[in-house]
Amino acid sequence: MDIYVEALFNGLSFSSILILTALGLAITFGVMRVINMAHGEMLMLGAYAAVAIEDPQALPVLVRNVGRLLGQNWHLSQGLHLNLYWAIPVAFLVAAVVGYLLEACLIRFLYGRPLDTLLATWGVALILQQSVKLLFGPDLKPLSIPAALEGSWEVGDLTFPVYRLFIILTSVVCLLLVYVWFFHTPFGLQVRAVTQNRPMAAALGISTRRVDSLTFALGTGLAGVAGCILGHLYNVKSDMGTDYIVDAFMVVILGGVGQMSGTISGGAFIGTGNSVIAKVLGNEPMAKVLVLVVVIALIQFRPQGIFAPRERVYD
Amino acid sequence: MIDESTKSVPASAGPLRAAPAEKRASASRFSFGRGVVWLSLFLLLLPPLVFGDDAFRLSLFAKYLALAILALGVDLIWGYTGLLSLGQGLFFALGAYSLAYCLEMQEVANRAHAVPGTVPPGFMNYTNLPITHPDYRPPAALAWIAPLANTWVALTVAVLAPLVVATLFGLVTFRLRIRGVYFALITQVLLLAVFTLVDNQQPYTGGRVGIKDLADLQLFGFTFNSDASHCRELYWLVASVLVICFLGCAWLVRTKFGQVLTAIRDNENRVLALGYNTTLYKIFIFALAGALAGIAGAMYVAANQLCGPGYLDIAFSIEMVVFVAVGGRGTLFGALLGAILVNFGKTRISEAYPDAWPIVMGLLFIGIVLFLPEGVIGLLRTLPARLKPFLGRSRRAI
Repeated sequence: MDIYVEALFNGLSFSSILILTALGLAITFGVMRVINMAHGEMLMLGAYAAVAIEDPQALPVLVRNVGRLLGQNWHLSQGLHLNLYWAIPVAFLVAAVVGYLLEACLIRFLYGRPLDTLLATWGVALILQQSVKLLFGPDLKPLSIPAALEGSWEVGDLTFPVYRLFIILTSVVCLLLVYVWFFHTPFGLQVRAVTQNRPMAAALGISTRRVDSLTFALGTGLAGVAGCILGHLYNVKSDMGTDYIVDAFMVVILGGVGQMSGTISGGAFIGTGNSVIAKVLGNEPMAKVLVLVVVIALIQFRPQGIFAPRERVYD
Repeated sequence: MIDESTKSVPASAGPLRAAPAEKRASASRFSFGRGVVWLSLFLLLLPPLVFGDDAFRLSLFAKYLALAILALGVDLIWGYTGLLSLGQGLFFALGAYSLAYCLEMQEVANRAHAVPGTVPPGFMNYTNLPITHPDYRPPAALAWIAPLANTWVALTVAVLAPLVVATLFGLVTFRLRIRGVYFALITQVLLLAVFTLVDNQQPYTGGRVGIKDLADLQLFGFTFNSDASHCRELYWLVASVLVICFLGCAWLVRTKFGQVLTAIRDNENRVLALGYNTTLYKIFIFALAGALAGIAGAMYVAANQLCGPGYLDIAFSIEMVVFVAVGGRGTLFGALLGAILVNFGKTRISEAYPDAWPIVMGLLFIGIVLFLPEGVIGLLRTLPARLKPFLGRSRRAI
C-alpha cells in the first residue's frame, strides 16, 4: 500500500509540472485557437535559464560560443552562481520574453490557420533546440537543488522527498496567481471575454492584440517555470521539451480549453495515472502506453475534452 | 473584366499551366497526360544517368522516391482533404517492419541453412542457441511472424496492416467529427503510444536498435539492394512503384470522389449539408494514405536495409508534412517534388554542415508557411503573372 501512496505523491508532483506546462497551452489555444508546438522548448529554455545563472561554467561557455558564431573572441572569466529561488523568476522571464517575441514576430501573422501555425511553431522548436545545443554545448547539464530542499520527510513508513513537496507548492502558488489574474483583474476579464467571443470582445473595445500577446507570454512563462523545476529534478538537455509536450497536449485534449479546472483535472489524471500504473505494472513505458490509449479511448466519448464543460460549438 | 494573367497563358502551355482562378479549387491543377510523361521521364531516367553506377547516390535517390510515395499519401489526406495527420509515421513503420521481419527471417534462415520462418530473428532468440541445439525452444512470437517470411505475404501485410489500422482509427475519430488541431494531436498521441510500445518491447520488435542485417529483397528473380551490382534494379523498382501510386492518386483526385475531398477541405459543413457522408470519405482517404505510407515504408526498408523505431519518431511524421508543404499542398506533383527536394537538400546540407540542418529545416517550416503557402508549385504557377510586368510580353509557364 505504501508504495502506491508514494507513487501517488510522485504522480502529484509530476502532475503539477504537467499542469503548469499545459495551462499556458490551454489558455493560448482557448484565446487564439493556435497550438504552439514550440511550447516544449519554452520548458527547455526555462531549464537552460536556470543553468545559465546557477552553473558558474555556463555563462562563460555561452559568451564564448556566441562570440565564436559572430567571429569575435569574447571572453568571460566568471559566471553566476545563484540558486533555485533566483532561477524560477528568471526562467519565467526568459520564457515569457521569448514567447512574447514568438507571438509578435510569427504567430500573429498566422491567425485563422491553426494547422499552419502548428507547422511553423514546430520549425521554431527545431531552431531553438539546435541553437541551445550550439550555444550551451550538447552535453547534459545537471543542476543541484538548494540544501534546504534536499532529503525527505518520513511520515510513518512513508517517505516524501522535500523537493517534490516544493514542486507541488510552487505549482499551487503559480496556479493561485494565475487564478487571481484570470478572475480578479480587469485584464483577466478581458482575456475571458476574448476566449468566449473574440469578435464581440473586439467590438466592445478590448484590444485583442494586447490580450493575445500578453496571454501568450504568460503561458510560455509558466512553461519556463515548469522547465526550471523539471531541470532540477532530472538533467537539462536540449530535447527535454519534446518528452513532455505530447503529455501536455493530452492534458489539453482531456481538459478542454479556456478554463483552468479542466487543465488541472486533466493534468492530475495523466500525471498520477502514469505514476501509479507504472508502479502497478513495474514498467514505466508500458504505463505510458496504457495512459495514452486510455486518453484516446476517453476522447471517443467527449471529443471536446473529458473535463470540459458542455457548451454549444459554433463553426 | 478578364484576368490578364490567365488570358495570356494558353491552356496547353505546359504541364504546369496557370489555372484560371475559378478552377483553383478543383482537384487537378495541371494537364494529366503531360504531367505524367514529364514526371516519368524525369524520375526514371535522370538519376541513373546522372549517378551512373554510383551505388551510394542511386540508392539515396531510391530512398527519396520511397519518401515521395509517403508524401503522396500525406498530400491526399492533408493537401486535398485538409486533415493534418501527425501519425503517418505509424503506417510507414507498419509497412517497414512487415518487410523488415520478412528480410530478417530470410537472412537468419540463410545463415542457418534452414527454411525461412523457422529461425527466429536474433533479438527474439535471447538464449542465442542454434535451432539444432536440443535445448532450443522457438519463441512464441515466432509463430506470429513466421508467415511474413514469404516476401509476397510480407508485402501484402505491409499494405493491408496500415490500411486496417487506419480504417479502425478513422472509424472512431471521424465518426465523432474530430478534426482540425484535435485530429492532429490525437494522431500524434497514437504515434507516441506505438513508439513507446515498439521501443520498449525489445524481444518482439528489436527495440531501440531495430532490425538490422536484412537479406536482399528478391522479387521476380531480381535482387534489390544498395550495392553497386543491384542498385539500378532497386532504383527501378521504387521508381515504378512510385509511378503506379502517382497514377492511381492522379486518377482518384480527378474523379468526383476527389472533388468531394477538396470540398471537405474547403467547407465540410456545406458538403454535409449537401447530403454527403463526409465521415466515409474521410475514413477512405485516411486508409488510402495509410496504405501508401505502408508501401513507402516497405520500399524504404528495401533501400535502407535497416529498420528501426526512428520511423515512429514524432519529428519524422511532421517532417513528411513539410515535404508536401514545400512542394505544394493539394498538388500530387508538388508532394513528389517536395519530398525529393527536401531530402536532397537534407543530404547535401547535412554532409556539408551537420549542425546547420535542423536550423535550415526550421527556417523552411516557417518560411514556407509564411511566404509560400502554396509551395514551389504555387510559386511556379504564379511566376509568369509576377514576372509579366518585367518581361513585357506573355510567356509560357515554365
